[in-house]
Amino acid sequence: MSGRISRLVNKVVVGTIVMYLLAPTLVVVLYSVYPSAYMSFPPHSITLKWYRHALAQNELFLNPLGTSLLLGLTSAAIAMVIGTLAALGLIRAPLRHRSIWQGAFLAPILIPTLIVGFGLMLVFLRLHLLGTWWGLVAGHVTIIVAYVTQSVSASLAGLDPSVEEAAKTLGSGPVRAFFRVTLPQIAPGIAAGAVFAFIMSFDELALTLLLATPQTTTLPVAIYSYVQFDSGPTVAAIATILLVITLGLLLLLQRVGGLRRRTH
Amino acid sequence: MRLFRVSMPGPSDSTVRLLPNSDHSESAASVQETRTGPALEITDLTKRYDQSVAVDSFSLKAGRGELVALLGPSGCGKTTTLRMIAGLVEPTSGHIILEGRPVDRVPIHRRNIGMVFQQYALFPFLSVFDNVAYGLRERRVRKDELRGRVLKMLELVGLSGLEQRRTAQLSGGQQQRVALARALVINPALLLLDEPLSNLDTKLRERVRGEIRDLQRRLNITTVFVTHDQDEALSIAHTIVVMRGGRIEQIGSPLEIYQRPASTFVADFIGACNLVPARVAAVEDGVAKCQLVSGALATVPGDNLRPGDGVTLAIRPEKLRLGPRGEGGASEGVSGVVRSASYLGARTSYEIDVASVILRCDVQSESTPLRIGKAVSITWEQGAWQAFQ
Amino acid sequence: MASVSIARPRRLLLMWPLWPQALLLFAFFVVPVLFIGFASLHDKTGVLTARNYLSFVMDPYNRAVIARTLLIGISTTALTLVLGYPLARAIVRGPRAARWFLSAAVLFPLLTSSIIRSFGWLVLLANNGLLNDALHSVGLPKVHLIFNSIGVTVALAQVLLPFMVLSLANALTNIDPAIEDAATTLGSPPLRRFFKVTLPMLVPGILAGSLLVFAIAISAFVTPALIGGPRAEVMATMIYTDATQVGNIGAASAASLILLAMTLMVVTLYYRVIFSESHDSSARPV
Repeated sequence: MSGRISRLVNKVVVGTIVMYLLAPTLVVVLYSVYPSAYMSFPPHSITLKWYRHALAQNELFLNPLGTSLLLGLTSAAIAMVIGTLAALGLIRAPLRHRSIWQGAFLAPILIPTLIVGFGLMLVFLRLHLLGTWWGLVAGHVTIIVAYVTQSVSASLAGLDPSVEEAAKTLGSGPVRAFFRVTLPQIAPGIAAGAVFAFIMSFDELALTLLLATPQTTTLPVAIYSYVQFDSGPTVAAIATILLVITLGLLLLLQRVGGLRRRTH
Repeated sequence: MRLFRVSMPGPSDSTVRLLPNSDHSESAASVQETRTGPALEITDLTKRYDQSVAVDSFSLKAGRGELVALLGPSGCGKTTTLRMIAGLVEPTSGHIILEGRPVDRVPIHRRNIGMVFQQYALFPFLSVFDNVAYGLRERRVRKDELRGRVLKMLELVGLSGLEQRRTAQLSGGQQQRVALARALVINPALLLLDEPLSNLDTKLRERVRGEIRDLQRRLNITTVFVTHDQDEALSIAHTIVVMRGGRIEQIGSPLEIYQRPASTFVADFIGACNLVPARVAAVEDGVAKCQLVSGALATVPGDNLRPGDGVTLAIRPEKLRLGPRGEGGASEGVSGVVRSASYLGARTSYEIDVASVILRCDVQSESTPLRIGKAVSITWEQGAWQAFQ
Repeated sequence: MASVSIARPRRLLLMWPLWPQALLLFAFFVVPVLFIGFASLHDKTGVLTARNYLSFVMDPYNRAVIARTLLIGISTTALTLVLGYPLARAIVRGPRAARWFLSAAVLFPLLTSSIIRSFGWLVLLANNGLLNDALHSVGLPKVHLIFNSIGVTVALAQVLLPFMVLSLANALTNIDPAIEDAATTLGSPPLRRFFKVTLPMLVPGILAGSLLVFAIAISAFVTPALIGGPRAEVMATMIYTDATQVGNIGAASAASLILLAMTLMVVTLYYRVIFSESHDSSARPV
């Protein structure tokens, strides 16, 4: 008897925690269809007018969205190349103190992006590069590259070395063996890392706040500034669109299988 | 059921050598040498790491079509030797000559060697056909010729119809055959096998090793085969190289290795062996009489032995007979008590306690095995024991 | 790869794939931090001084901010621990069907922007937000969870819960359930069994998860900025305000370096715990 009760209690507890995990996101989606800015619960009707309003917002939404996408794609592409090379070096090159190198290259993930942004701001101020597009790209690449390195490293570490050896015995020189045999095997890891890096760039706020100008505003920065004045459902609608884009990329990530590998 | 098809022409069926040959480094009569010398010649191959020597002065000559097995416990250096032949490991010193041409400086991809890896190392992103075709594509073989050769080889290894499958969908035995086909289709000068059967279950292992042997004989391809399983080595090799601690303990045919082991290690490693310490009692007419336990005497060849020498005597369990002395040509013996009996089907293995030395005797099974505690007589033919110093 | 002694210049050449990222990190990571360090040691007139650091620890407002940051860090860690364990346990030991869903639910917040989550909490917790409105309609008093540490903790814990769950789940998978069963057959009721048997075996996972959550919590910016507001500043928001609105680069730099040092210390401890416990390599931080 007590077994059944404790199992029920457990289910309720876990259910509540899951609600807690999902609550804010669900609230945003819910709020985006509220009839007015007044946050009464439950709402007495729902409407899509805020979405129409949001899609008409060039300054608040469409321009920053374009900037975010372009910035994300550029940064992720560069990070993909640099990160893959780094992973190859970390796993394959003859290194003394390999774990120190690995720690150093993966550390940026855990450093607050605000501080990186602040430091870059100081550097760019001195070099008169503040507010430039490429300065922003440099900042983003710096903070997302480690995700690619991590993903490709994991992929490489899981490879069977004798497959590449087999290619060599069959007549492929080292370069050909890499392109014909190693690369196809780590391609999912590279793609997953790149997608994850893109998501991180797309959602980045702190560093971008410090380095962006009105011409180079990203979507999170635009939302952040706007929320200070007006926390109405328009922002919720924009945030929901942002969410859908991220979710779409998540599904892409799943298909590539990278997510499963990351969760031990 | 045969798994390999007989479709490729080859030299007439060469039987496994059984005749002893006094020169251990040469191969037998039915194995040819190329006009310029042996197909594979290895001289003093050595691999040294910072703190240890993995392979110490390994030397071997193999003729065309000869199957050499490198046999030994793990860590004996057999895999390192194989990988040095392939070029995957750089030797510290020594020479390798393949079909008359030195390959020491030749990079892996130009040695024209076919290698089958322990875990098969198939390309997971390619189909069976593309796996087998890989080496041919690297050699720029023309499309129609390539297709013909791949399909023929797949038929030879019994995988016709499976060309388009993904390798992950195949069973272990099928994957192994893809690996074999892939290595053989390029007509390599040398075939290297790194414990190819260790991932298969026992029943399959026996079948497949027979097929590998038949295929190798049919194609007459020089082969080096690494294994830790002595049954495998004994059943398919022309020549066995027993290795220990990086050095060669003995090279010879399966019969030589089994019947005339060069050391107690080889005697004990191949098959079961009784090893008993003894002392030389007397030497006359080139023959030594050694004192075993409880007064029993064994006769062994007397070269290099003097009375009083300590030796280790070795005899295979199947050479010991249970029964009264003088029966059936057995002229020496000892008495003991049955300590345990293991019924193994066709044979029964007894442990006989002879003054606290345990002798293992394998005899043909009777309908009722001997009781534990029964007093028995063990006998053997004169000269059946071998002495090691 | 065997330990070969390669000459230094040749080894540097063989390491060429590492150069691009090494250069990138040096130019856009190390150099900026050096700039911050430089700026922290100079005041507005360009004179070398330690004043920034001194005022950092002397100024009562700064000390309040540090205290609040640490408090939020600790309470967030505690909250994620309490909430994370049942979730981790359900993921590792629960029925198969639930496992996939729970894992997805845990990972999902990681991939949605912190802006979205913080905004959602804003809507939920505001004085006239959804929660208060719901409470009001059933006659309960309103709760003041916005623009103070409590609100920030609640929001931050939700954001960081996945990290704790991952660490705990990883530790749990390495515990053989048969050990807990043995304790039960020997007479321990569930609660006592938890404290006497499970908990000791979970300590490395708890430690790892806590350090990770703490490190991220003390350096968080977005959530405290939106939920805490100017009235409940933490170190990250104070740095931002100093850097942009007040224009006190020296103060912002000193605070930045101190925050960086704190974060690095905690992260180093985290790596120590992870690798000393012979965790398998999948237990790396995200």
